[in-house]
Amino acid sequence: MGANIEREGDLVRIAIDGRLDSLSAGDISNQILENIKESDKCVIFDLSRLDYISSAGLQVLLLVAKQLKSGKVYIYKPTKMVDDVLKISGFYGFLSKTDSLEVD
Amino acid sequence: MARFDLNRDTIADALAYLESFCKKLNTDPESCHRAMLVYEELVTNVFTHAKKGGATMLETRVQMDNGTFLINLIYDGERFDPTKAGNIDPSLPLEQRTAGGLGIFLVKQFATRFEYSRENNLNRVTVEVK
Repeated sequence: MGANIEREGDLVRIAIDGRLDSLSAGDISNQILENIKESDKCVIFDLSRLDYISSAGLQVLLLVAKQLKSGKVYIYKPTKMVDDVLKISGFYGFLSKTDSLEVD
Repeated sequence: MARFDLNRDTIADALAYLESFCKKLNTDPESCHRAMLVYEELVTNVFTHAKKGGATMLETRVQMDNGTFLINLIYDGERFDPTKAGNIDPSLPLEQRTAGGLGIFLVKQFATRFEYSRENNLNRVTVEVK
């Protein structure tokens, strides 16, 4: 459990598996916030193996998006449940979906 | 039905109840995920907000009828009506977004029925999820 975080310059890839809920969000949030910088240009969340997200998980994504000064946050291949929750919550207004784990 | 002592049991205990209910059912995982989301948001609210208003216990009951989850919550403490919360605007830009209210907002989006009543000094919440 937890997030798998990789850095490549000012690009950060974060893969989260399983569940991002009120039980796991606190630790995962701390782990991520310790590893990103305000100046990062791009954070890609790989949610291809995340089965479940609740509002506690959405708060993690919101915190990261607010943390970046001018960088962008991308969502890579969300599962259907996660995609539905992100859509309904209006999170695609400030997060973008991507089919690539590389920067454009 | 499961009963939780808000001062001794944890949110994890309460969530485990629905998880074990879902595991026993031979139903599609998407439907279970929707029910889990609604249940988690409501239970978390009781363990955080209602507890601050003096709630000490929570009873939850989950049933499945014809593909629909029926979730009942009963908790004590002050009047705490979740159906009045969660009126957020999902079109707000990032700068104006806050975490508050997102959980109940999601309940309202996924529930096909969401009702609250106050009887005998107890809060009662009924939710249906398809």
